[in-house]
Amino acid sequence: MKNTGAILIAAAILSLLGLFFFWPLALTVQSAFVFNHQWTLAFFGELVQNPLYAEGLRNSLALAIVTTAIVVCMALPLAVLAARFDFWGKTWLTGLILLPMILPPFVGAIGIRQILGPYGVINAALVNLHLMDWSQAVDWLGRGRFWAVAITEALHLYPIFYLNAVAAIANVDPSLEEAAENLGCAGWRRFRRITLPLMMPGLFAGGTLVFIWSFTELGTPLMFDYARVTAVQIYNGIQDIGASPLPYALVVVMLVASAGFYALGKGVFGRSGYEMMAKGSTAGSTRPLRGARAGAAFGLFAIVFLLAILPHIGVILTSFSQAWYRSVAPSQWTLEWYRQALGHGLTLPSIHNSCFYALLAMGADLILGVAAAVIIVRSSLRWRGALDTLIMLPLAVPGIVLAFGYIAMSQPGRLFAGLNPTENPTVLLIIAYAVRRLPYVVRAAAAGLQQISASLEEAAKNLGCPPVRTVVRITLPLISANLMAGGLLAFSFAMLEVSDSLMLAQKQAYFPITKALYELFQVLGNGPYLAAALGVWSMLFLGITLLLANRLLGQRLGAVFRL
Amino acid sequence: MFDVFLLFFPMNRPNTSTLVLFLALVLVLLVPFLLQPRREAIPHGARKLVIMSPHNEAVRHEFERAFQRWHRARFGEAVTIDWRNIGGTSEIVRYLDSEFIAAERVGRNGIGIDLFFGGGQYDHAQQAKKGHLAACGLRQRHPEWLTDAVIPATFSGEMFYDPEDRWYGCCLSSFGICWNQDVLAAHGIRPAPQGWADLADFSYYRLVALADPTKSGSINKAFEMLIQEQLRSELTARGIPGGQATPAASAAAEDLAAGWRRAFGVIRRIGANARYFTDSASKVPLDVAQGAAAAGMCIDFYGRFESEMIARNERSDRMIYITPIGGSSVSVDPIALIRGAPHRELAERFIDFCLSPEGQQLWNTRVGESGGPVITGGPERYALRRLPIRKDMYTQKFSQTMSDPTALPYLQVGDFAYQAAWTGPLFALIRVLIRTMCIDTHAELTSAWEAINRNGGPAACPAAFAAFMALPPNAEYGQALAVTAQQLNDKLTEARLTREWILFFRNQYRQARDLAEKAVP
Repeated sequence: MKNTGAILIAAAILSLLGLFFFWPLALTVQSAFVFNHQWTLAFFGELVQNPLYAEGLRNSLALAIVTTAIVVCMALPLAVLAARFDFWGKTWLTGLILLPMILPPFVGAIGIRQILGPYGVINAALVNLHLMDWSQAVDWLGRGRFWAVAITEALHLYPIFYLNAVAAIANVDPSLEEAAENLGCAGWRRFRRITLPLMMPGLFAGGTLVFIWSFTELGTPLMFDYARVTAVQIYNGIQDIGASPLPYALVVVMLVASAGFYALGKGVFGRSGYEMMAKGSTAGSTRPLRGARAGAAFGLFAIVFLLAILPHIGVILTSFSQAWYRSVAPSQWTLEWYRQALGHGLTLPSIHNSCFYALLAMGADLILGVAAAVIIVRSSLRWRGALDTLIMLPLAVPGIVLAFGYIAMSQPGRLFAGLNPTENPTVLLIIAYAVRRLPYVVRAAAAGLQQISASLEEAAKNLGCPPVRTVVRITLPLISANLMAGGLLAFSFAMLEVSDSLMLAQKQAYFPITKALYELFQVLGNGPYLAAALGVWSMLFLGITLLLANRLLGQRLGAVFRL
Repeated sequence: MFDVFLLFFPMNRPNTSTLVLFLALVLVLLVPFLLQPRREAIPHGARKLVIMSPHNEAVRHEFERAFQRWHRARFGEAVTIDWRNIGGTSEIVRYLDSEFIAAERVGRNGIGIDLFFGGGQYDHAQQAKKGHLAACGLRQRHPEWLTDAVIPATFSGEMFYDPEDRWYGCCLSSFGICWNQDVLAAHGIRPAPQGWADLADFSYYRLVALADPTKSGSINKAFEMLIQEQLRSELTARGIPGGQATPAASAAAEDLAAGWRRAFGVIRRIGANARYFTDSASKVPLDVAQGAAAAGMCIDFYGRFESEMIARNERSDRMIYITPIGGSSVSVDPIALIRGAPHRELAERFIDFCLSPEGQQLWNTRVGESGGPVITGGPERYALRRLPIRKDMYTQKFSQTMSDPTALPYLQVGDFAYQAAWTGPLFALIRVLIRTMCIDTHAELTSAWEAINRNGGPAACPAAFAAFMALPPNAEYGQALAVTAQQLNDKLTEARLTREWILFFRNQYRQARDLAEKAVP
């Protein structure tokens, strides 16, 4: 790629990032650097000297490492099975396996509590089986909190890694594997020596997202009351009525730490991209599994899926329950919560708003994400690595920090006063969603580009194809599996975005679904049940969308680019 | 172009399962449409009022509907309310601060919002102190309301309205204790808790759900009341004459210091028994009702409503709520006129409505009741379960239509007499001390408490217990405390003090745990 074009595109991306990420971030965290109208690092000094914050960072890092390890162990075999083999039920299971990532906010904790609470489903089953009585009820939520958080996060995040891994396998040139097999390298050895290195860009993409997400994750530790992690310390500090600048200093520390870990990971795992010339000369790259092997494959998918949707099952059953206490299933059932929640005046506009905001945000991410990925992978700019790192940073910033920043930058007298969310938050919400989900698309697109040889594009240019047309006719189709994966993630998580939705959508007419969920959750007494009902609707909507996408495009994810 | 489309979206030919999925999607999208309620059209030319509020949708719905009817009947004009909702009170406070800074930067007086409705007295007082609120003229329009017989200026140590006319309490709330009888029985805890100190017993270890005083001024106030209760109890135990209502001047510093240590001893042990500290109002009663906690500290209307809902839906009496007599103050949810309100006249009318009998009866009338003034009637859809601030609403006539006729806040406070001089200036310090003592160091606190009780209890491990209960020298009552409280005005000094106390408590708890493990049984 010519440097002039690359510089212009990179400058445009950096400008957008500067305006819609770094500037709002700076507006919020500036209080950590300024005290009594003077610049200071004193608050950072306090952080360093306080052992609790160091412990929080250590726990956050440990959580990220353990969660990522669990995700890789869980999702990599699933991705290989999905991309390389056929077995009974595969078509549906490969769609269902994505559903765990669509757990709506606020109601997830209800679902977990119904399953794992002292008087929840698991203990009720043990009591019914006469293995214990209620005085011996196990506090599953209170014990082993670190591992409970890690496993819950892994079960929520593995679809991210899975999608990227599947796309990566889809891009592997089978002729290279065939050549290895011809030379006597087969089975596990071939996978380790040939397939895995070829997949590494996609694995790095998925692993990075999971690592940074779990390093900065707030919701799951809060659910398990595990407070000694950085994200919870930031949240508690921001919510403190004392209004101390310390949590904003901690935000900066977490940002720097996330960038550092990402750069380190990229240096260790993300450099080896083996470009492939062809996607293979054989059609039909999946092998059928029969008998016990097919059963084992089915069983692995089923077990992971069932474990991952336990919270969802809790939410679904709660939404139908009139009474559910000390029993495996609700003792009384009702449809009343659905009538109230779905018939509420908030609901229909919020559905429309969410779809609109998420679709436009996804579209913006696809355009910017591809542009950024092309710079990062194809250009020779010396600072493309820094650009890559900067683009990942939105993952590391708590949503509430950015939300305050957006409000600050759109106040009267500021450059974006015209975007003031008090009148109409639409543009600001789309920007907020797009910024926070951009890393998914960039990672997915970069992974795809790393697996495709640049000589294919060069050949098109040699034949007179202009650069833009080359990207449209050659590059994009070759990486469309990756773009679909990234786009799906961006859309789903934009639909479920919490902090920006709560803070920026101030008027009911502009509420997205997450704000409607929050409002229903606050209704006295019935609130959690109403929120569970709307949460189930949201899961159904997103789930069917994902399954449809998988049906329409999923079989192509692995095989569409076979020549 | 179609080639490009297919290249981007290479699709399978739709088959039966794909069609089924598509139909399912259409059905899912259709259901909310079919269940949509009919909306009342906003009358043309209706005047608009802009209100920022953390109140839930139920309160907003009922007050908007009732105010519209009241305003049409009284002034012959249609009105509509533009509710601004950005989350809880802490988000609103940050938003208001930020908007006023921006307004001052461009030379504007207001921020485009008329009223701040809901949140705690502490938050409204802070906004008033910052100059963000304006006198609303209520004391000129309705002086007859601002008497001890109707709306007292203060009660149980709490201010019910601002002496400078900038904010007024609209409804009452207090903190109390809810518990689950099944969980208490399963753990052999008898009798049920009747006061805060009962939750300090080790039998409640990891079974108590607590509200977080660092996240809410109202919750911090509740802990301050707990401290006041323990101070009074200590003075009474020491035989101080008239200890329950002793003016500060006649209580010796040494006696108050002992009471202060006693109070924080109780708070510390309750904290050690806590599963968590939460800022979510609904989490505590929900967890207690579902058996995830044995007992908890929750807002009165949440506790009462959850208890009633369990009784009604599940025919179970397992969930009980009480307001500890003499152990809780009554606080208010205020309303305030924001400086530079664009629709001031309408805003003043809304304040008048909220404090009128017509508005007050909305807080606790049952749904569908027509008791009360004919103009508005009772709530249309939601029973709000809050308590009106006006004393003259607690009458025989009104109680017949109330959701909670037995809730009598002006009587149930008991002989509690708040002594402002004891703890008033220490409000911020109490928050920081509880945070460092119980919340930030919760892991070490619970570990030490468990070790002490596993090795025979406080009596068997006196050295360990002494280490467990120690306070930092600059947190002891008296001169040192007053100096420390002053230091908290500076954010950097507060950060240093927080760090210092965290280190102190961590070391003490680790020491206590080690001493307990070494104690001879």
